[in-house]
Amino acid sequence: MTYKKITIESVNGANQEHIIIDNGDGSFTSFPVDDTNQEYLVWVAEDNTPQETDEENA
Amino acid sequence: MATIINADTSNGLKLTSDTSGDLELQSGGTTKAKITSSGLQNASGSAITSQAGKNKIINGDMRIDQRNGGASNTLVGTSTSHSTSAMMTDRWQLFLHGITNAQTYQQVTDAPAGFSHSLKITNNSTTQSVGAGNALTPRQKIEGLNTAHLNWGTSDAKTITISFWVKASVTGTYPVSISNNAFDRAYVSTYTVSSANTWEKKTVTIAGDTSGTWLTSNSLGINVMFGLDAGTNFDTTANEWVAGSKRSISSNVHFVANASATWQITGVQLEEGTSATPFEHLQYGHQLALCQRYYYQWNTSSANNFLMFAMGVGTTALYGDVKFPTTMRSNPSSVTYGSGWGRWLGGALTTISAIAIAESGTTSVTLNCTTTGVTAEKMYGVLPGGATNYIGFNSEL
Repeated sequence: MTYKKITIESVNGANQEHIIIDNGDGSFTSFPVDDTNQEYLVWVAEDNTPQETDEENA
Repeated sequence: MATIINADTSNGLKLTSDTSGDLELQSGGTTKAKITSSGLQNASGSAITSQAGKNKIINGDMRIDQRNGGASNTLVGTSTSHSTSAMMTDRWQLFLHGITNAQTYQQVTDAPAGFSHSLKITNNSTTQSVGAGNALTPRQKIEGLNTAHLNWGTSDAKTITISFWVKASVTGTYPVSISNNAFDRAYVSTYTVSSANTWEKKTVTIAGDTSGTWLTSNSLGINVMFGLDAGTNFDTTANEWVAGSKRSISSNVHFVANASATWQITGVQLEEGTSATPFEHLQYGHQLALCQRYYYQWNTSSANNFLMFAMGVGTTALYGDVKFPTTMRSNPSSVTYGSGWGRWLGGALTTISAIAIAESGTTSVTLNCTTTGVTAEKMYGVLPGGATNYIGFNSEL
């Protein structure tokens, strides 16, 4: 399983950071880097750390 | 007493009258229902109200499997301190902490009479002796909006009864436990698998908790856990409310210590009252809609099935809306999709390298698709790039 961080422009023009996880089975999961987002909090709790944009991480 | 109307195989109809003003309906001398000054009651004296929606478990008969479509999947911890989870059949989560023995889960068609599917969990062919803090827990988290009427955490807390069918390769005592959102209140009851690899129906009745905080919002109301294995940290005394995160008793079966052990469950019902009533068989469409409140998966019907039309912004982004068929529990927190997506404006597809939720709502989301060669303000079709692709929106508890 690998992941990368991307930055997109939200509809209101602000930048948003998202984690894109390659689940290793041909699927991908994405969620915003947001301390109020349950999915992000669970992911961080599993000892993951957001890295710089577009960096792949094992 | 009461005036009794009894039908049996010896007398036919037998009437025993008194002046209490109450009426009992009996079959073969056994009370089945009562009418008193309080209204219509069951044999235990609990009010008989509308039975529609009585089951607070969603997808208790395991028919809906949006994510996996009946395929098997495996969940395993990377170390004895690793926690992870996966969604199995809809609404049913497999949680594990420190279980490094792979666990396979699958919707299968082996089921007791009256049911078409069950959920099956299979332990790896190797064994593991769990540590004190380890746990393997299939569970369903029930939304507080659906449990508010039970009045848990108050002096008026209502009793619930959980009924289910189970089939397991390992006989012995297994726990069924309840916890609240904070995991600081727990009740562990047990059931016994008497015969290996045989469908058995089990019933557990739990008096409502008059203490603790039980959420009644769209957050986790009641967590129903069918523990398969747990270390001593999770052990407590059976059949009483306790503080803390508990989900087992010391004499429970240790599932992962049994190579290739299997455990199946279906027909799960959690209802108010002191006795189990027949399983509430919902229409498929109704049950699917209930599941889609927590997870909605769009499946393509062909390679040419548009997910949405999306507008070009800049040179690398498309923005488009996906509407949900039912209002979701909360704004989806993540999106999962297969590979192969592309943008189309006639001709060949151009690859979409990432899909993210730009704006999230309970009735729709605005997706951002990362691609190349976009012309701003042009409309593009977003296509799955194959006949089997999907995208799923997650709002699980």
